[in-house]
Amino acid sequence: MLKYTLKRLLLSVPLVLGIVTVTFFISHLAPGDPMDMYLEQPRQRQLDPEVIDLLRKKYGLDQPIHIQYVTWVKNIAKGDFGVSFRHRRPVRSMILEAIPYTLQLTILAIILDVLIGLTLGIISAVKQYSALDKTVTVGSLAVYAIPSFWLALMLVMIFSVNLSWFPTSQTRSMDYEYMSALGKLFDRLWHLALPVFVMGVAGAASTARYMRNRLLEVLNEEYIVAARARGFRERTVIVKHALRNALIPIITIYGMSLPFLLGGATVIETIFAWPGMGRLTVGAVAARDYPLIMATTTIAALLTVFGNLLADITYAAVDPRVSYDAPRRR
Amino acid sequence: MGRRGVKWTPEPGHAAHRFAPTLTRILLLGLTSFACAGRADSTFSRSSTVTLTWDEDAVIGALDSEARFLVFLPLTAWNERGELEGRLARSWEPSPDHRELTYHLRTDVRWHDGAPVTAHDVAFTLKLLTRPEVAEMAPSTVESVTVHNDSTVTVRARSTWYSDQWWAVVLPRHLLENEDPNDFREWEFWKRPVGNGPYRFHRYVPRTLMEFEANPDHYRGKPRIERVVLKFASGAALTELLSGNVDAVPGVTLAQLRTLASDRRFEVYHHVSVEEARVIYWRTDHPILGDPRVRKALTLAIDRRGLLQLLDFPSDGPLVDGPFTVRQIVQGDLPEPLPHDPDAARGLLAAAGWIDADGDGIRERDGTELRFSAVVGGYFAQPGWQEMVIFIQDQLRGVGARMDIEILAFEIAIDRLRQGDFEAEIFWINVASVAWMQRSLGEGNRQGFKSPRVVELLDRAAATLDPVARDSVYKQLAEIFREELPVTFLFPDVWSWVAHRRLRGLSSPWRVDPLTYMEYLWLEDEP
Repeated sequence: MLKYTLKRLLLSVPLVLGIVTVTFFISHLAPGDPMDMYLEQPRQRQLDPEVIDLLRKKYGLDQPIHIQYVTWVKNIAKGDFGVSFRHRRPVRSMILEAIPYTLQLTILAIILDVLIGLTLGIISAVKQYSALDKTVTVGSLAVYAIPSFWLALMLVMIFSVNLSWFPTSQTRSMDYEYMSALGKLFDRLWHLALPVFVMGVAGAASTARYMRNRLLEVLNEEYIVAARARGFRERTVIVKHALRNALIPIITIYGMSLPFLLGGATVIETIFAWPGMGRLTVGAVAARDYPLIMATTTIAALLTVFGNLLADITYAAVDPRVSYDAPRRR
Repeated sequence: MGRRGVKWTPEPGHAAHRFAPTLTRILLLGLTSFACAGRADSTFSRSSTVTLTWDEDAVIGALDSEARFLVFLPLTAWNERGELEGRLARSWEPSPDHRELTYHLRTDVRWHDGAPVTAHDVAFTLKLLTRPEVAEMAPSTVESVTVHNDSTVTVRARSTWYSDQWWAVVLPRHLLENEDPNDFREWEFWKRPVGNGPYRFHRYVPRTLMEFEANPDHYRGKPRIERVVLKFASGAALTELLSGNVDAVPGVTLAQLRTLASDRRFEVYHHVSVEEARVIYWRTDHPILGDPRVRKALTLAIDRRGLLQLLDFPSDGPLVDGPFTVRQIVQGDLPEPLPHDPDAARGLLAAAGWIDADGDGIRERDGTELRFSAVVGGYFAQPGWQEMVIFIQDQLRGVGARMDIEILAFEIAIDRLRQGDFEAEIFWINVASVAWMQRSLGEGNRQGFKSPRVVELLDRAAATLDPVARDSVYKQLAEIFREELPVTFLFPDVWSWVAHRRLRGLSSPWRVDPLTYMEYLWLEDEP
């Protein structure tokens, strides 16, 4: 396993380099000049062409593209993603500021997704063709089909605008710093409620369907029939035998959700003015802020690569039938 | 053995029984805290606080955001009559060539930490902002700054100084002189700014808000609104407004405008831009559009007041046919705009040989249809642009011209414009930026417009700092534009704010932005 992991890690290097290269050249070979945001963008102070030249020099845009590329690769190897054209701030600081907010949102959303999705999936499978199963199936399909931005907007309109039960946006109340410690905790949870609910429920709908189908497959396996024939209680059969096996692919799916953890949910973060990675990316794209776009794309790509690796390793760890070690020669 | 459901009842002594009372207690405690959370030690009094949505990045280190006017004073500012009036400067006098301005500063203005504001702060600020590492103003903008005494400073400027000075606020030398200019936007100072303006910094909560309180020592007297909160929730501005969490939001889109205009709680304010206009750039060496009669006919065919109505903008706003200065547009010192006259447009096209011989509604000449394409950039997706472009297309069709719409990404549209690869382009012009106009219409411009007189006048505009002389140059430019029509001005751009009715003192079209005019506003709670 260790050998396999090291091999995969080594193989990831050219893959990541390839991703970084493609990201760089797509951004730089696209038509237009990054400095257009200062020269041609309406409703912004027009910078003097002399200032534009200074900025061009400062950001290395006056260098030939291959020099820019080498500099970019060297810098990102050191964790330096350059300076945001729009904000004129180091991209790394902006990303480090956004990550904790995204993690709060995505980790809680995944927990909710797991709790609701797995529970409903298991109940639905165990009580197949019951009224509850049908309700869960139809409900999860309906939620799965609802676009999350629409659900978010509807919840905001109902629970924030009309009923004033939840805040419309942001991560905390305006008088947060005057609250007690417990008050602060609940204030944060209060602000997390709607975005986490939307993200969690949307994920749970697909998890429930996946879990139900997988568990039903496992419940028809011969070893489950054998377990029942041996007189195990149904709860033992399901929890100890069926569920453990049914969970293996689900664990893999969650392993691959690593990019989501840091990549954030662009739409939800935008709707709730949540200052995470998703909103940062949307703002970067809207402003054609290339260093920021390249940084967020590179991070997402890296996380996808390592998420896949993590999923494969986890798969082998939880399923003893899977082995990545080379078979012994006889 | 048949399948059966799982029935599970916890037995006495099971973990669920042991933890249930504790969980219940935690839940009750949580609910109580939750109920009390929003009220603990709140400093907010809605009757004296104005809350606006704003972008955090436009507050921290961004000197070109309107939020700077809450905390900092500029030397001078435009008033509602389009004239510069003193802020930090009590008075000022220009040299005969208007390249030198000697400012006499107020002596009753202090920094919020109590230190006096002096001419050294002005010199420090100008030198700082023109440093190449800071790159806020061109290094060549200011030739020299001479401090005569604590309240008198002379600035010798180059051409762009005039148009740039409106935004430059003065920064405290005693707090910033040892900071590293390379990290200008990262300075901690921006997170707790010490200014000299009508509002003092009170607190900053990252990613949430920045709060200001009225400065009792402000030289014009303490502002009537006690507190101003900039809530960093610009992405959720509309729902924040509808929820009653904020009092005013900027940058309202057409769709939002239509929703909010019918809501009695709010008032919509429209600001007519003193700098930018929406325009159609014509390729003047084009076989069809190269004829000034055609360009004039196409301009006469467009009902520009109807266009303003369509976009829910005030239809009695100023219309122009050429560049304008701030003074001209604010004072209404503008020539009568070309009328909407489709009959005259048809007459001009016929005189130019364009006749609809085959009766298909599109005119032809020598077998060529009166047809061209108009590039529209990524802003087509912005509310209002689609309606505007389709309206123009429809109006042109009414006089027998066919305009095909080419929708491109912003970068590609700009690239095409820069390379002159277009027939017509619906875009903006910034008339306050001579550099922008020179790119569009000056020497070697991208639309093939050749007018030595325009080139000469633009060079003069760039070099003229005397406002009266500058008005005269712009008037001459406007006359040429009206005749030659290298660009059809649709209308000076309009920005909208929506504010709760309790926020009083705002008015269209020149006192619209609450951030700039906060010290003049007050609150009146509705019965």
